[in-house]
Amino acid sequence: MQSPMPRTFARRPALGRTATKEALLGVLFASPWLIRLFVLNVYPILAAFYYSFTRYRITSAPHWVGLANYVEALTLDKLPLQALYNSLYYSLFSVPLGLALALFLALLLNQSVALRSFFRATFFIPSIVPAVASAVLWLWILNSRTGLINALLTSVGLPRIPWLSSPTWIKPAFILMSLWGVGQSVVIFLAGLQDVPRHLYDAAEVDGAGTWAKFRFVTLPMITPSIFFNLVMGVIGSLQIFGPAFVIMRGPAGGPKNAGLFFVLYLYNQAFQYLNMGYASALAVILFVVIMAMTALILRSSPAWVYYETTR
Amino acid sequence: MSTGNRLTRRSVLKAGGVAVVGATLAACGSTPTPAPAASSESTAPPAASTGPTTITYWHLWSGRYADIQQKLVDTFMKEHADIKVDVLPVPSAIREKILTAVAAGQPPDVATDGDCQTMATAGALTDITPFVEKRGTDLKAIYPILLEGTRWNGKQWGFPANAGVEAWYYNKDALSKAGVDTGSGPLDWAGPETWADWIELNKKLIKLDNSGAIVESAALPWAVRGIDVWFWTNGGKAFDAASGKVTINSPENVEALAWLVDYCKQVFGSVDKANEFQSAAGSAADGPFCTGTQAIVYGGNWDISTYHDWCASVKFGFFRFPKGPKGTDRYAYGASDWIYMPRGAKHPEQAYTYIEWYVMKGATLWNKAGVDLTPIIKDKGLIPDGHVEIFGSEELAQKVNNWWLEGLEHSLSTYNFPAYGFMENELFRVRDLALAGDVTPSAALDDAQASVERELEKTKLPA
Amino acid sequence: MSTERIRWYVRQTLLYVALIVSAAAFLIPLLWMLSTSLKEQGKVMQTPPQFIPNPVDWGNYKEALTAEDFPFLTLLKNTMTYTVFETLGIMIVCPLVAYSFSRLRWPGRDAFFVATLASMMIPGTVTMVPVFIFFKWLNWIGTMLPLIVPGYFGSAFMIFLLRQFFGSIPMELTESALLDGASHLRILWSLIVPLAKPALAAVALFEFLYCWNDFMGPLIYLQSRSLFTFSIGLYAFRERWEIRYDLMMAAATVVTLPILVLFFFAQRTFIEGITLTGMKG
Repeated sequence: MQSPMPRTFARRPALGRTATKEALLGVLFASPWLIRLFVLNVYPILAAFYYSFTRYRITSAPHWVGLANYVEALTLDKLPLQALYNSLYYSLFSVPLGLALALFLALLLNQSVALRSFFRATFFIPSIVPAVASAVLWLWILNSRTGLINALLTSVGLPRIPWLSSPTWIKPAFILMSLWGVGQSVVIFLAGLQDVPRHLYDAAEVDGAGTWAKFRFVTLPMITPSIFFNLVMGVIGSLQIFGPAFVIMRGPAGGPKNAGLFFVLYLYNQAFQYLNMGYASALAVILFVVIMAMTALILRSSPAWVYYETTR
Repeated sequence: MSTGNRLTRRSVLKAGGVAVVGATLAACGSTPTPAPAASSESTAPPAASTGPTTITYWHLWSGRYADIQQKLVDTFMKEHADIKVDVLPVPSAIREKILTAVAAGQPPDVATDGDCQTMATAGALTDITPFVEKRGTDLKAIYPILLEGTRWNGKQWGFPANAGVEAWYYNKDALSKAGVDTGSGPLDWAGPETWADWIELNKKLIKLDNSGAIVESAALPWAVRGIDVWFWTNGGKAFDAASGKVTINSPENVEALAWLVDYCKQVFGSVDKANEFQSAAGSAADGPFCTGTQAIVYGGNWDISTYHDWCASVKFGFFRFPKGPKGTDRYAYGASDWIYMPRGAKHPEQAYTYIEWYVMKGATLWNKAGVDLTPIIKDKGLIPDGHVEIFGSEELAQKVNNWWLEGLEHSLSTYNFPAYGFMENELFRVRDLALAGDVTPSAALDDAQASVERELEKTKLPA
Repeated sequence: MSTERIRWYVRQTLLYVALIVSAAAFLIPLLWMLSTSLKEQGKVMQTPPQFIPNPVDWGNYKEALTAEDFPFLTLLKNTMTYTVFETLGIMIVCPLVAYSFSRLRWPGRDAFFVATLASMMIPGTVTMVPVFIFFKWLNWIGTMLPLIVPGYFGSAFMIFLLRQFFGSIPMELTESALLDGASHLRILWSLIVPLAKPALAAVALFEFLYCWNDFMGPLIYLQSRSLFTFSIGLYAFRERWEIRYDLMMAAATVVTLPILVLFFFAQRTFIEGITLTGMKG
């Protein structure tokens, strides 16, 4: 057996009547989602796009201002670019670290070990703790005086880290918090690992493949669809981080020197604190462009490394 | 604006037809009906007495405060047999809930919120000036600085739902250890008089350990609800309501910010050290004042019961802000929550009855229950429940209550600015930059002046 | 002992060490939550941090669960209603849509897939108002319908997830079934679903989780206390000027338990089974 080569979706020639039948069925099966996509997504997104060119205070009529919001966001107002930097920084670290950690844990949990169910639950529990409780929890753990981490650090003679009060450390604090929530990605990787056909491993062993070779040539290629999923969702989700930031910083504030002001947090401030929904919509469009650009890069690269069994 | 992705444009184009319809719907659907509630109001028939009218009331309290709110509502309903109040506690995100409801035309009749002016400028509220005039509500009964927060464009938009005053708490034992005699009662010491006194006192209070970390902290003057209070101490202010101009970078204000920077350098050495100490505790019970690690903290009148409940061993007192070189008064910081009628309320007459009752009577009952102060001047006489026990005598409890209430007379209006929230956040932002030494105080305030002016422009919608 | 054996022992040891160290790191915050739920207020934030509460205050659980602002049974009923019915919708519709995106060809499919991803790239803050207005137009405000019904029309996240997994199942399998005259629906139900059980279990779990902890949705659309869910209820312990951490952690622990039960159940039933039998021939 040779190692499965990554292949792209191949095209099958259309078969006339069968193809039309398949096309109709495809649309039919997808129709509930397409309806929702138009009604609850496309319409509001286009509304937001429209509002981005207006001064809109939610409870009064929007007034057209053309590109004024964009000009302000990109030149006059210092905060959007800083907030974008904060979110990108966060994403750049939390996504790869989270992916690596999740994969590592999933591989561990896929082995036959005693108490496997217990271990699995351990890693997943943090993801299910309600957000308000979880954020409050971390407020203590990261407290520079009474918190757990600094207690551990001082017990081995290291200096305390001012997690939440220092501009340098506040983003690493959020990155750390994000790692605690990798449970969901672990579950997805686990599901992916379990879908790898046994016979491929058997064949590899027959060919004399060791642990690393089996991982590199069987496991890794076969789980690329899950990697792709976690990567894309990681990028989309991390650039929109809001909840933990909001609860930790007790509302609209942005942390020390706004080092913790993530983009969606600032967007939210503008929308619901200052009632500048038009400006917030412009910010949303800017964010959309950034996320879309990054996702497009991943999508474009995917035929080179993601392996699907299906042909189109 | 480029999309940067072929496929996106394709998918957007494919949805093009629906998109155009969608956008039109959005533009129309979210345009609220133009008739202001006041005029539709005047053509409404008088309340027909065919049974009690039910009004919806959303408030932002939870826990035991929600229970007290319910008691207030019950009292109101007893006095007004023809109005039933349907109460909904909204423990968080009440702003979103109100705004979406108003935008969709299905608002509550009455709501409480932490902001009135900004909501008014956004057209989210019903103008209650006609009601005030018709019913002869005595606005003079309300503390002027609080009332200022409810007026915009010459009209009345709501009432203060309560009053809060913030000043400085101090730990008597810690101060006597530092060689200051603060007397025996909470009001026996007026606190440091001037900016210079502040620095001198706090240098004595701060204690470091061998590694230079703070063991007992001094006061953090910039950890207050709004930096503009320090402007007042020097005879300046952030916004001049009379002229409608933003005055953030006035010389008095720059001087005040420069003093904060100087204080930080002299007392703490660096702002990082100071911030590191600042506790992330969400509860006053677990905070540094209660645990004895900070001798002077910023707090409000409500902290009296908290400190009494959770650390009665700490003997405390209070004092007001000091005076700067150009200062004229020892200020406190007055604040409030607001009660208003969202635009589109279905039962405006009954809603106004409730709002009027609330500010004139309900807020005082709220005060009596030990929650917040009352915005009504003549009700100074009501001692909050439990305070006699805390202070040992009715006389002292009365003095304390009066002292806090009088804080409203030694405060400037903090909510009379339409972009208040934005201004406070901008001031905090430039404060951080100045404290860290990234910019000079003067440059910092110029920065804030520019951005706040810009924001003020945005709130001036065409009529 | 042979080098084989030694290698095996070393490998197993490393495995267990890695697992235990990682698990410990993940457990600590959780144990802290449990520990706080058993502390008296005022003892919650001591220096140095105490793990074992002293004294142990089980009363927090009783106080939290019987608090007037936290009507446990009502909150449970409402949360279950929302969660179960919405997840049901997702489980019915998403496999259909994912099948269509991964195993059927139709014009515009890839564009709509990108649109599906794009729909997740706009923060809810700016879509909140138009969506609310839409539901007002349907007259659904004040009910649970805006929360539950959209589930019967799919979810971008779940569709994306299932599309990835369905795409890992070989085409040969379904092609032979098609030649035998099976309908796509039949194929989906009898072939794809059994093979994608781990992914489907994940979807059920995640969606259940999402609804269980959803705060903004219920807050915006519900207008009466009798319909409130746990997520709103937990805020009962966040009072105006302070947070009753001890009570909140007790309540949060209780709120988290059903998901834990669900997790074990899902694990046992779906994930364990597949590993042993392996996959297709």
